[in-house]
Amino acid sequence: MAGVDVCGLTKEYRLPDRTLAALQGFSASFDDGSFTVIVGRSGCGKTTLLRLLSGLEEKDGGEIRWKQTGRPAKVGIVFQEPRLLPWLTVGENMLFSQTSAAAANKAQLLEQYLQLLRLEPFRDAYPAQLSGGMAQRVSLGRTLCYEPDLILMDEPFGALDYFTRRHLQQELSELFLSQKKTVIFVTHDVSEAAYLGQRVLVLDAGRLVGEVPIHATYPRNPLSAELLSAQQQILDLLGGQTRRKMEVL
Amino acid sequence: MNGGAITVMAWQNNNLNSLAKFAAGLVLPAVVLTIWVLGAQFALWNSYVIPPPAAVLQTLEHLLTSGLLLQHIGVSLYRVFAGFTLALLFAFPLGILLGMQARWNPFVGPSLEMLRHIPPLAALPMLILWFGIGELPKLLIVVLATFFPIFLNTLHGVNNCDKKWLEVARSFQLSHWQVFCRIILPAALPSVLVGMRLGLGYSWRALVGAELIAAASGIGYMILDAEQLSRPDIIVIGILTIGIVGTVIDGLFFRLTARLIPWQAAMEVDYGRG
Repeated sequence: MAGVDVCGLTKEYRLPDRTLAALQGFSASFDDGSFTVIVGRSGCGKTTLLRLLSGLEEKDGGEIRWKQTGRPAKVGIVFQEPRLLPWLTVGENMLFSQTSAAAANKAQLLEQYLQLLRLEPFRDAYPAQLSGGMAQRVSLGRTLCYEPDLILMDEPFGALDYFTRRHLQQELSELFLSQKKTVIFVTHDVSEAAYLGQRVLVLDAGRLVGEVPIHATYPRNPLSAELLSAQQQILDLLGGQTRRKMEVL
Repeated sequence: MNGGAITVMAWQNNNLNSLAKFAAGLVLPAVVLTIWVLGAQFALWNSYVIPPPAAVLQTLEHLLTSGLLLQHIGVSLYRVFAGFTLALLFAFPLGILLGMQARWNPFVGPSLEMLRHIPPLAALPMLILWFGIGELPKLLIVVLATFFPIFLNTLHGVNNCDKKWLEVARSFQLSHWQVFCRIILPAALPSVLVGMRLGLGYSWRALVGAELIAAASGIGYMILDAEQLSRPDIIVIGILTIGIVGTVIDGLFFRLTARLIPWQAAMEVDYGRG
């Protein structure tokens, strides 16, 4: 169970010459078993939000309330870059989080996710021997092997070419259907946001500026009228902010 | 082309490269040997200054059959490995400790930095004064020569552990001990092994220096003794032995390193990814 309410979350970074407000009173609710995409320009506070939710950074203000349990859920994070440990093989990397599980359980878990992510032939390969897309799949597998309640994904496909990205987006939506995990996915790619999310939150300068629900079922057609219209709504929300900033200037 | 074929080709290319490199490495010794043989043949220099290869080979045979050369090598190797092990026992934990506890650095850092610049042989007279001319001063020379490469490389390995990996460990709620064992130690290992390899080389050189000054056995002593007996052929054998044994030790350690960090080899091969 991993629903979470975020209320008035703020985070500032103190730089030598100024203070940078990464999040300014961000509030949103993430339901258990939902796929939410947060979209926005670079530096709008998307990654900061994920880092606060994962506990990698301390918030300056606001509240994170975990639904149902009241205590922090088991949170797994897929980073922008794979961050695989070069001294471990694919299999060992995927089981990295399993420190106390019995060997039989580990083997079963690994088998399950190697199969799911089609990584069986690469079980004994080292990260240096993998392509970018493959390494990102291993990174996703590592997070899945952790068996988290909530999966945070920080632009995981951002550095990949179009075809690999498309393929992984498809795999991720299939995974979401089969695993029923709560996913918060961050991206600056509007088409990716519309393709993956059940709900897209638009973030600008650390503030939530709008929300676009998408009801299309998975697997989705990226060129369907509903997804194209969702993309337009997201762009309008982002464009509105840009226009307002221009007017102020 | 599939990944398997690319991997096999990369492996074959690598093997060919290794063979070519090995052959290229033999060119210079072959040239020197040829000049040596021809120079001796045509009496281009005094045989006392540079003994002819035939005389050196004859002496080598005598030293090998009598077991004298192996005995000296054995003594020197024992000193190197005993001193090296002792240095490792101090330098590795200290490097880890100071790497993990940066707040202690201001207390020990400057002193260690000063000591690092002192050549081990400069301490030999004091060591002889304190401990006599027995085994201990020579062991301590090896310890001094080996300590800093291991210590500094261990410290560097710990300090340069990628913060992103530490974040991965934090995201999985690993304990401090688990982070140390599963991230910091393996991340530092290549650097530690580089330090050990450097240390072995330094210790070998420093030991021979120490044996030239105060010893009754070992390769350095053999050279010094040959000088006093006016036997340049033995000196040449001694010098070549130092080089060959040093190369063999380094080669063996390199192979051990490759086994301990197999992922490094994977990182060095070009898999032809687009």
